[in-house]
Amino acid sequence: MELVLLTFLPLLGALAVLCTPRAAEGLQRGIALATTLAVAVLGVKLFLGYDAAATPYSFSLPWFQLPWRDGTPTQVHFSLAMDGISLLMVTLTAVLMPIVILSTWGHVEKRVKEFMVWMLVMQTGMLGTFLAVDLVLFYFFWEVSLIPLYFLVGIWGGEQRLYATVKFFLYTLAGSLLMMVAIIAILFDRGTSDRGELIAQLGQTPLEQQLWYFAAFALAFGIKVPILPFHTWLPDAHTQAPTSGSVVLAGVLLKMGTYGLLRFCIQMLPDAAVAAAPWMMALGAIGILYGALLAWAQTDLKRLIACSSVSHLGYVVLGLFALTPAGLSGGMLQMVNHGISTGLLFLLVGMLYERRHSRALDAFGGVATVMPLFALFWVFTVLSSAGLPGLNGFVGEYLILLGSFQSSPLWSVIGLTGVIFGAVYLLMATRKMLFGACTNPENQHLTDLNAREIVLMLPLVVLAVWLGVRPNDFMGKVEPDLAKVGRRVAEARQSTAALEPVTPLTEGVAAR
Amino acid sequence: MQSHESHAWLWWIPLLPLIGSAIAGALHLATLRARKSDPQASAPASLAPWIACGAMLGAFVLSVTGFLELRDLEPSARALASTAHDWISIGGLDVDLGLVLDPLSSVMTLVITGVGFLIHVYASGYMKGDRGYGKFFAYLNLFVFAMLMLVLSSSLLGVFIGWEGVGLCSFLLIGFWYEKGWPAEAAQKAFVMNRVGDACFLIGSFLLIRLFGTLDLKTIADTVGSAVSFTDEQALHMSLAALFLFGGCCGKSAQFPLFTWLPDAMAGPTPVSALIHAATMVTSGIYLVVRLNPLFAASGWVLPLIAIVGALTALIGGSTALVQRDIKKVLAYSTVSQLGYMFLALGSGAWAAAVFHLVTHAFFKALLFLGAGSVIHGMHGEQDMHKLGGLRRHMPRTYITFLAGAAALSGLPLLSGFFSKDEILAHAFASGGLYYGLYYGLWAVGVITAALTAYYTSRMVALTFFGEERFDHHHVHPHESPLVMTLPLMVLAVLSILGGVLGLPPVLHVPHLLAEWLAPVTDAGNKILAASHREHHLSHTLEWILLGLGSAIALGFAHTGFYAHRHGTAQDEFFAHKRPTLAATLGDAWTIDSRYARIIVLPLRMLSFLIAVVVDQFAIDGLVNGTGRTARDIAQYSRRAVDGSLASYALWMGAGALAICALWMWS
Repeated sequence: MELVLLTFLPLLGALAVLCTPRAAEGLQRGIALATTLAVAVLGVKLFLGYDAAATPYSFSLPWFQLPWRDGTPTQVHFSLAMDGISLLMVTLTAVLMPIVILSTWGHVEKRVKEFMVWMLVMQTGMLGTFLAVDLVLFYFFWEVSLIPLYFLVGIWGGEQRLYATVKFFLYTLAGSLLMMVAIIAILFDRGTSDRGELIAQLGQTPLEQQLWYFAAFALAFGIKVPILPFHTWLPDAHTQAPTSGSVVLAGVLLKMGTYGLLRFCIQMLPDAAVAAAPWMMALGAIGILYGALLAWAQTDLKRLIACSSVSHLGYVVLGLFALTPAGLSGGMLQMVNHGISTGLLFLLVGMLYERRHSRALDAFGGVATVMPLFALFWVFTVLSSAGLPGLNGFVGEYLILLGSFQSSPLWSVIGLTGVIFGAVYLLMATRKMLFGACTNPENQHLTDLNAREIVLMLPLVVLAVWLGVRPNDFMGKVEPDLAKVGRRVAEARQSTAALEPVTPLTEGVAAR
Repeated sequence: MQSHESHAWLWWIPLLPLIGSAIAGALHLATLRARKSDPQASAPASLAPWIACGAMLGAFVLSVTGFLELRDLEPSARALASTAHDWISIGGLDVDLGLVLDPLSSVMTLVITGVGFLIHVYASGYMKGDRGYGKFFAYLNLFVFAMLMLVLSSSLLGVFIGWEGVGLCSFLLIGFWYEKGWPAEAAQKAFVMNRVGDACFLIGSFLLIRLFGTLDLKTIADTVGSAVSFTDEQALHMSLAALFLFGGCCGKSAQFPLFTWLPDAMAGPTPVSALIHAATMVTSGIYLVVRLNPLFAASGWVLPLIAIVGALTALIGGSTALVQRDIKKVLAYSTVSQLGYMFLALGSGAWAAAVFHLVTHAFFKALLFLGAGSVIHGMHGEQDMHKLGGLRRHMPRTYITFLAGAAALSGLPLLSGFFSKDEILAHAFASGGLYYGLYYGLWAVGVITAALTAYYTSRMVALTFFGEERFDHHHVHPHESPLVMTLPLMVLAVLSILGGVLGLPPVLHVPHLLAEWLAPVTDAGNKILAASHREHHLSHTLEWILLGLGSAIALGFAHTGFYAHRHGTAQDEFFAHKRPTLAATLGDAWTIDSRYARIIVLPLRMLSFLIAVVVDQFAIDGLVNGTGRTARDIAQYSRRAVDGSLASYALWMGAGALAICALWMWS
């Protein structure tokens, strides 16, 4: 029941906002903030109380039946469940949303009511996606989370918002439709849409059939992640979206893609995953390099960060499809890390934009002299994003590169170049924006961050440090479930020849 | 969470500077707030040096305590450890966050906190009046924290925290005066070049995990040390791991080909150059190799490679320092060159000699940088030696102490640098017969570099302190620095002169204190080298000859350098006029940096634009938009079919019926 409450609380909030008079903007903001805060409290409580060994939270009701041709109807369930993997994504979503709502104080001035409604509906969609066990229900929530962003960008976006929205919508819709075809095919073939049952059954199906499902799912999720070469919607959508939209997009919506890859492509179709892994790792590693080089060439701050997302999500794909314990854990951790660091980066760029109404790198220079606190937060975030040890990015990156090194040194080393280029483009942007003399008169009177802005970023800053110093506190809850996935993949891999491990040099230790 | 062991106090050594950094940072923020009402306020930040110096003094006292405690133990039992918490146990990777104080880390800790404390005191005078006074000490203390983590950590991943941490602080401090623009660029360059090395470091760590299943430094060293033999595959992996770790060292310790960031790093305030870019951070690479000496000893061809890189770097640095006009650039290239010596020592298997030179270099190079800083301070920021001259009359204390440091750097007999440099060259010479006489060649390069060192050092002294005063007397009034700056100079001068007692040569029949102290750490590597017949002993006669040769070269070239330049800039102008190409090549560090810009940076930049414009916007997005347009065109076209005319509908219907019939008959 907790899960149902968690999922639909935002929707209730949305209904409440709908009932307010249009002019009561303060009330609308208040309801939205209160709702997301309540969800955040619930999410954190669930996180703290979560015990991998105990029976996981779950909820299931028969939903509707699909009449199939041979007479036995297929029962679709409204079923939600939470294991460690879902837990981490749900908590990330729950914690991020109040921050997003609070950030809108600075940039959403028109049609506040609709904005809040769409935001809250989107949260229900996202939470449902991470919790749904039934494939049909998953698809339902997936689509629910897609539509609000269309409006968020289309109504509150930048100058070229229409081009960006249409592009984003068509791209993701193409992916969704492929996924729908795959889900219908599975329903038709297996007579069930329950993930647990499918995990048990689909592993037994012949590789060729698995590969077809895999291809459809991978394409759908790959567009969302986005994996090269399906990424071109992302820079446009990010650049045109309002700050809050960018934060949700980077923080959570993209993770739905990587989450799907882990859940469906790897956990449900292990043989196909093993067969496709070299290709997926290649796409991930090339994506890291490609995204970094792309980011280096950008002159628009927001676009630069969007391109860096392509690079960072390349890490996730590389790690997940390394299919080693370190790679899977690293990929999982990197999903959370990217949500925190890139969320912060978009928040900061948004705060700068609200003051200066420009995102062009050339418009800035010497901002650190007038906005020292902003500079402090920015440099911190850049370091977290660049994977400085002691902050969140490092552990994830290290595990991903280690895990992929264990299964393919080549792609790991190519991915490692991202460590170098990541520093290049982030520091280039930092230098052009913050350092040098503050000569542009328009920059000389920028005001530093205010209390609201600092408060809304603090939770993410704390999380960045916490994840960097004590990653076990978070990953300990996910490890058992990831280990299950790992075991399944290992079984699938037994036929395939893995990299021969070096005989470890342990005789010396044993002798002592 | 593991239980605390008895030596939990070890954590206070790095934690004190960390706390100091936090307080100094808070003071800086408070000052910024105070400046809102009074733009000239410096009130809360003026406390920062007290906090920072106090933290350093505390850490130094603890380091001394640790050293004394170690000394009372049996040599084989000399290690104090404290594991506070298992940091990562995720995805099959288990890494503890622990500290170990053993003979090697104890030497490093003493240097870092001792020399570091002196530099902090000096900085409290040097940086007085700077707008970022509090911030400076926050960064400086943070650096010391990271550096201490680097040398105290028990696992390679812990070392990497410090490794990247010092890189970050170096970045922040090089770019400290970021308003000027070029320091920010130098800072970025330093960070990125270090990252190239760090990527190599990470590959090395992956290989170590594959080989040993752990990143615990002691386990790795012991396992290699006690292994009887290796399979070919294991040997190859060890060599590769050693190679990649050395790649990391090249970045941090400014070795060829990754050394070009260090001269640019002089854009930072001078105390930073002394602490980070001379005495401590740049020696991290030497520390790492000595820490894993059994691995490097067993890694076959990597060792001579290290020696070659070291000797080459020494030569490049030394020859470039000859023609620099900026006093800090001379010292920077000199540092590159001296670090090359240390790697030459490591490549010759002389672990203790490398650490010995590290320690003496920390003394005299910190002294020289601080002395140069005192000159710059007294000359209102002038760094061009052609615009200095005759300063010995105006700055007697700086002059005398600078002279001591210069003499030690030149390797004048009986000073610290003389003994440490001589030991390295003796070891290189003793390895001579290996690899078809390779080491004789490297020894010769080392001797040539020694001559260059003596020459450029005395040129620097002559141009700065002797000859006519080449500055504008109306605008510049040279003055001696306050006592808070000159006192550290005096302490370092004494250390530079007497530091040699740590490692007197065997011909004098006195114990080599440092080698004996480090023996528990270096024995394993020495044993492996001995087993592969790399052990070498020089006869006493030969040693005396080498010592004599070293003295003669140092004295001779110091004399030449001084007399060529004591009357001013004429010699420099003569050289630049006579051999313009050579002077330009040397001045630009063999043009390596400009080649990087042309061969690596520019093509990458072009690739990045190519990807952004041609591939991403034109090809991929063109395809996407093209698909969209095609779909719209088809829709436009088919819309025309729905034109409302009954006749055309009937036509389409007929055509459809025909098609169905055709299909039906076909199948």
